[in-house]
Order: sequence, then C-alpha cells, then structure tokens
Amino acid sequence: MPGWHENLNDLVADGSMHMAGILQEQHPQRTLLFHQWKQMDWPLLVDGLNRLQVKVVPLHILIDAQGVVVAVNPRADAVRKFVGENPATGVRGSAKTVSFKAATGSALERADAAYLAGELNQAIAGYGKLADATPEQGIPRFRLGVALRRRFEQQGAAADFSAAVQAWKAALDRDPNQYIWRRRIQQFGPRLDKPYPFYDWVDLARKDIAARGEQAVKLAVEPRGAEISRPARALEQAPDALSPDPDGRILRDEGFIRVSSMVVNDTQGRPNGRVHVQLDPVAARQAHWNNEAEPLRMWLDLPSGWNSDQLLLEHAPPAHATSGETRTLEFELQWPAALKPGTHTLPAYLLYNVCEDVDGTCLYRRQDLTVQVVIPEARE
Amino acid sequence: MLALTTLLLAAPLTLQQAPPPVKIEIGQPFPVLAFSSAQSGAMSSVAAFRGKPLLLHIYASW
Repeated sequence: MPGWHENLNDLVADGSMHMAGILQEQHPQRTLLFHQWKQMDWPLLVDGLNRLQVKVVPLHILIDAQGVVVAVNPRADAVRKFVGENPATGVRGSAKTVSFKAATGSALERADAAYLAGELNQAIAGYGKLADATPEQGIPRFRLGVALRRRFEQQGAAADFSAAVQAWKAALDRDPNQYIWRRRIQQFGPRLDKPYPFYDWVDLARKDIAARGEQAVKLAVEPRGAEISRPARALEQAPDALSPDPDGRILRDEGFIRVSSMVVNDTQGRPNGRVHVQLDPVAARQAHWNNEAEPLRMWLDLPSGWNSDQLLLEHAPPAHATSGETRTLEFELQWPAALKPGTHTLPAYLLYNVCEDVDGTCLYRRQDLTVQVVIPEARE
Repeated sequence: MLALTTLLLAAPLTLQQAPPPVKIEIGQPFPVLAFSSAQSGAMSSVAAFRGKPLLLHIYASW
C-alpha cells in the first residue's frame, strides 16, 4: 500500500483524483497505526463484516467520477493515464448513505445495522437466527463470529471468543475459498497454519513513530500471542521441564480465579491448534493477584503421542505488588493424526498466588484444568 | 443516522434465505454500502468520492 501512496499521491495532492481504502479486518485502529507509520493519509472505511463479500485482499479498484468501476487491479501507470484522460467533473460527492432500507431491509441488513450501531446483543441474536434459518450460508456465520469477537473484546467473556471461532469455522466450512474468513481464524490460530505474522510490525511502527516525535495511534485491542507470532513449518520442541506439583499436593483454589480455555484448530484440518487460556480474578471475592511471589505457571500433562511447544508456561507478572487483570496464556498443541472425530481432553494445571479481599490473605493455589480439543467430522 | 438505526432495530426480523451477492464488476457502479470511517467513526460510502476518479484499495494491515 505505501507504494501506491508514493506513486500516485501527487495526483491526489493536485486534486485530480481520490485514493481511499476499505479495510477487511476486525481492528481498524491497527490500520490507522500502520498508516501513521507509513505516513499515508487517505480516508479509510471499515468493512470488518466483509459486507463487500471480497474473498481476497489486496484489491485495487479504479472507479470513474460517476462511481462506475473502470478497472480491477490496474497498474499505477494505467491509473495515471486514466486520470489524465478523465478529469474531475466538478460534481462533488455526497456523503449520504443509502445502504439500509428501513421498510424492506433483509434480516441480514438489520443485523448489520445493529452491529454498526454497537448493539452487539441484537446483532448476535439476528445473525444467530439467520444462521439457523440458512444452514448452507456462510455469511451470517462469519458476521456472527465478528460480533461475538467484538463482544468478547468489550466484555471479556471467554465463551464469546470460543463461539466466534466456531462461527468462523462454520462459515469457512461453507466456503473454503473465502480467504478473508480463513485469515480471521488464522489470526488466532496455530503457527503451522499462519501465512504471515499478522501484527508483528506494531512494535517497530511504534518505535519509528516515537523517533519522529509523534504520539502513536492508540489501539483499542492490543495484538498479542497468536496475533504476533511468526509462522512455523514444524512444531518447536518444548524445553525440558519438570512438573512443579507432580503429586498434586498444592491446595486447590476455591473460587478465586475463573479459568477457561479454548482451542483454535488449524484451518486446513491438520492435527494441530493453538490453545488460549484465560484467567479472571473473581470480582465477587475481590480476588487479585499477588505479584511479589512466584509467577503464574501452567503445566501440561501431555497424553502419549501429543506434543506442545511448551510443557511449563509462565506468565510474567506486572511491576505492581498486586493487580487484578485478566491473564492469558497461549501455546501450540499437536495431537496424533489418527485421533478420531469427537472431543478429546488434555489435562493441565495452573499454580498461582492469589489474594482474597483488599487486605485479605494471599494464598499459593493450584487449579486443575481440562483443555478440550474438538476434532470435527469431515464436512460432506 | 441514530433515528434510522433505531427504526431498523425496531423493525420485525424477516428472514431471507440467501444474502444477495455483492459484486464488483467492470462497467457496473461500485456497490453502494455504508461503512464507518476509521478516522472519524462517521458513516460514509464510496459515493462520497464521486466527482473525481477514485483508486480504492481494499486491504488489511496484516
């Protein structure tokens, strides 16, 4: 994209043409940060729902002054020639939007309107109802996933993230050639399934922007874990490690920390996935982390034939003595290719220091966890 | 926009079996759909750029 900006921005600057973008991703602030980094300034519209139904990106569409498509993926010199032969008409564009029809709008349009208005519960209900009514349609399922993921990012319920991935998977099953939908899963999926690292550029962008003396665009959702991990061709070998509580002698947590886990499977059906574990201190008990003792750790009791890139995971605590944030751990998982369709389990446990009440006692506790891996039946 | 959205949300849900395809075809008008602006949050569409040739990039930052 920076190449287009460099090659043709003189025509924008002299008023001969417009350049603009339509984003096909969930988090528009990330693209704004990218634009700031690359010093690009064209207007950006957000199509996180994939309402344009494009299946791949990037696409470059040359449109004439009347709004008619002239070329798809033209070369820069062809754009320059077209602009030279077709000057601006002097008719100004209208910002009027006519997308949603109040009287005749379809159920899909109503759900889209709800999503765009920030009414996520309404959007999720609408997409869910449509998905039930149209078993062969991928579109409502993909958009259901978008809305669920957005609600997860606003409210933090891990079940929403899990349901989002299931909805995206169901959409992709119905159209395996839809690469926008595939990328939305791969963004959170295993490294073996990644075409690229997605958002590994964010740190470098921030450094460069800071070096220019600018304030970087703030991100609503910070990319982490799978979203910034590099693609891999093989599962990395887990470092040697010993189970920190092999006999289960550490006392169990009695409701201080709520733990949930979900697995994002490889989109191509290979036997691997990325596991996301989320830990939330229970607000009703005023539970919070004690960061002055051992860090949060997680041990995987891998069944025979299973592999992971880590056996013992550790979460670096923040600098404060105590904190109450949601914590996440992610790891890569590979299971035997011969595993039959159905639900399989990976036993694991977590060890952490948690405190009760504002001035309450801090305890070292263990919580056992069963990660559920679902191997789907092949779709007919 | 707020009034329109309120009206839409209040309308009864009518299920439609297949979402209509959106096509980007040479010689045809670019689909008129409303999108939010990443910069301002306001709703807009590609129609806002009429009057001059437009090179529209459809992409993601990944």
